[in-house]
Amino acid sequence: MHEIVFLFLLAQSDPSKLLRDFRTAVAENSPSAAADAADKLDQAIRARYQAWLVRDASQRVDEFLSWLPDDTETFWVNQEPFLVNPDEPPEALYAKPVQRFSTDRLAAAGDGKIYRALAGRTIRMVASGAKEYRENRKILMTPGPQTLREVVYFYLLTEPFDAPPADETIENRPVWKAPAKITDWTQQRPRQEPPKIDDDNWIALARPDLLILSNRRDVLSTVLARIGQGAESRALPAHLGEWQHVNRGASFWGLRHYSAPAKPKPGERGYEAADLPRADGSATGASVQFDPSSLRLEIEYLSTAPLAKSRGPIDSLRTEFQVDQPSAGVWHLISDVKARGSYPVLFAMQLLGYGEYR
Amino acid sequence: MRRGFALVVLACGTLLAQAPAASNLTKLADDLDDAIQAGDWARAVEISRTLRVAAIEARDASLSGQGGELAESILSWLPVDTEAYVVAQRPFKLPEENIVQVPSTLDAARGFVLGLLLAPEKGKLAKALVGSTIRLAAIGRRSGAEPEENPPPNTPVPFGMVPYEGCGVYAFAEPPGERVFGRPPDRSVLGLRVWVSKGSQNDTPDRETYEVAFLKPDVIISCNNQAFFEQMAARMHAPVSIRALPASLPEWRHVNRSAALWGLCHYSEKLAVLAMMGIQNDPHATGISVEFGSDEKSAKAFLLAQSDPWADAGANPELSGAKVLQTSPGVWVFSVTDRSPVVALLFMAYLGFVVVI
Repeated sequence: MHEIVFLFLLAQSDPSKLLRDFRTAVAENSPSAAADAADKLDQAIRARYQAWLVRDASQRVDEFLSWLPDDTETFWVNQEPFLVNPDEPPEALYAKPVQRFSTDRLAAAGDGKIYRALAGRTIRMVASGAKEYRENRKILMTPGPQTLREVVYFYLLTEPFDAPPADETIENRPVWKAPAKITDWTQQRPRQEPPKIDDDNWIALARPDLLILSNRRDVLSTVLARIGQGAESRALPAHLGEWQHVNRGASFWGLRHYSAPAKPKPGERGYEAADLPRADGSATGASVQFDPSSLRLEIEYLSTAPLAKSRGPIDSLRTEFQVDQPSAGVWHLISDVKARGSYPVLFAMQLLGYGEYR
Repeated sequence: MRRGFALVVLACGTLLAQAPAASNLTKLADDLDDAIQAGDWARAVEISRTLRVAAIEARDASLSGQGGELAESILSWLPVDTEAYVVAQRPFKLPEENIVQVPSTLDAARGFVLGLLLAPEKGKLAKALVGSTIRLAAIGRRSGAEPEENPPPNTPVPFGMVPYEGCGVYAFAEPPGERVFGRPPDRSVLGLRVWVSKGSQNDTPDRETYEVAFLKPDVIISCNNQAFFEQMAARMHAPVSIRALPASLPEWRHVNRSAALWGLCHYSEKLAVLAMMGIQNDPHATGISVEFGSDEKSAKAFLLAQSDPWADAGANPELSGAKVLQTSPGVWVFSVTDRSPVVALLFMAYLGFVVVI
């Protein structure tokens, strides 16, 4: 049945067939049919182009994993190419949450000087790895606060980047210092505005078509050294159980392997039952995949603990997701983002450890 | 004989205009085929984009020829006390519900014109029409009886559209057929087969009764008020000397009838809803004309008022980039060139289509 559906979809998106349909409509002097055919053809061609842009995604992802520090806890990949448009109004990105999380730090870093220099260029792939969290467990908000201590982003471009003059070099690569002033939600207190803090970022042009951003200079230096010298180990090694739940062909995918500090301790809220998107005490990891064309989001949360029933008057987990447990220790969450809006994606990013950067 | 000759000349002109369009489309299709065969997807995506735009322009050119005439006819059918008339004349596809993308300024404005098509039959009619190309959509509105004028104490204002009386006329590129209703009509009015259903444009369910009919196989009329519908039906069948929004109104001087979407409103005493919403703060404002560009993002409004109605607009970050000019005494022009769905909400509210968010 799945094969039949796949063949049907393939036929519907075959550019050569759609081009024939278009020619027929033009020959029959049917402008409406021709416009419909041209629209479908354009969608099919764009899909092929996007697939072509990330044709080497698997190799690039393997490289990123080999460059990241061994103790990286979370990693995600956005392999849906997009055009950089610094003038895009913020509300437009609310409807594109994956792109929003892909660019929020780059757009804010150094008042967006590098982001603006990328205007009109296509970023064909974004990946990010991170570790260490400093959660304020009293704050319940989605999107979550930015709690990462160490984060690295990879931005793979379609063409070499004409870089502006650098501030310094690290491992013989040009580097720009790009601080940002952000809201520190982890310091929020009741009835008080959270404070603004200075947050450091460094951006390096690691290869002519590859930018790397990190909030820690020493981490960036480690990554650049591993690019130059190679590494014998890698982040999130292949033997981790979480990889069995990852679909690397998805347009967006990610995984998280929980470290002990990222989980509540005995007696703390959420230890016995998972108050998702926060992990419980016995969780081992999670995986996420999202398809922007079907707008279907899937999460697999790996824990032997039950899921908390509610964290307020509304059980948002069961409102936003279809929840089931296909096997012991695996919780499967599915959401139709088309019907639910972007909230489930924000939830998934929070599960991976990523909050709003603003 | 002279009339026959004129028709032949017109027909030849149309054919001559179509020929270059078709040959251009064929040339682009050939180039695209070459790029696909070569696996040059970067080139293919560029050509495909150009081809899509050219095909849509060719479609629009072929469909919009009849639009001006229909817009004029609808105007003559509207009841004399119609206060606002809006025409979306650039063809477009009826979108799916639950769109996650932020709409363009033009799409956001079209959403208001489509309101009377989306509500009837509990939304099933619109669902059956999704993907259809609308070559022209027009809506006429007057202030209606306001059931909420004396609501029980502490009754919240419903979210969504503030009620009005009106009719929308929707002309399709292809006849949709009566099957879109999925049931037989309920009654007949002056030869029109009418489907009657409950629905709403705000969060008060089934607030309104909709009367929907086919004027022609490819033209649907939908009204949220029986009297408005019957007045339109009567005026379609009997020539009338007095029309709604007469040509002498000053608002017409600022209407750009070549815009993708245009509209005007002549304020009546009854249009208190604007003041109620805190929008219309100039008691001397007489009316407004608006236009939305084909580039999907630019829009312009001409408000006829004594004082600047948009003096505070600069403080709204969602209206940043907007320009306000007084082009002549009593004429205030508000224009935006960047994508801003909020502007559609603002302009349509000035036309009397007020949404409570």
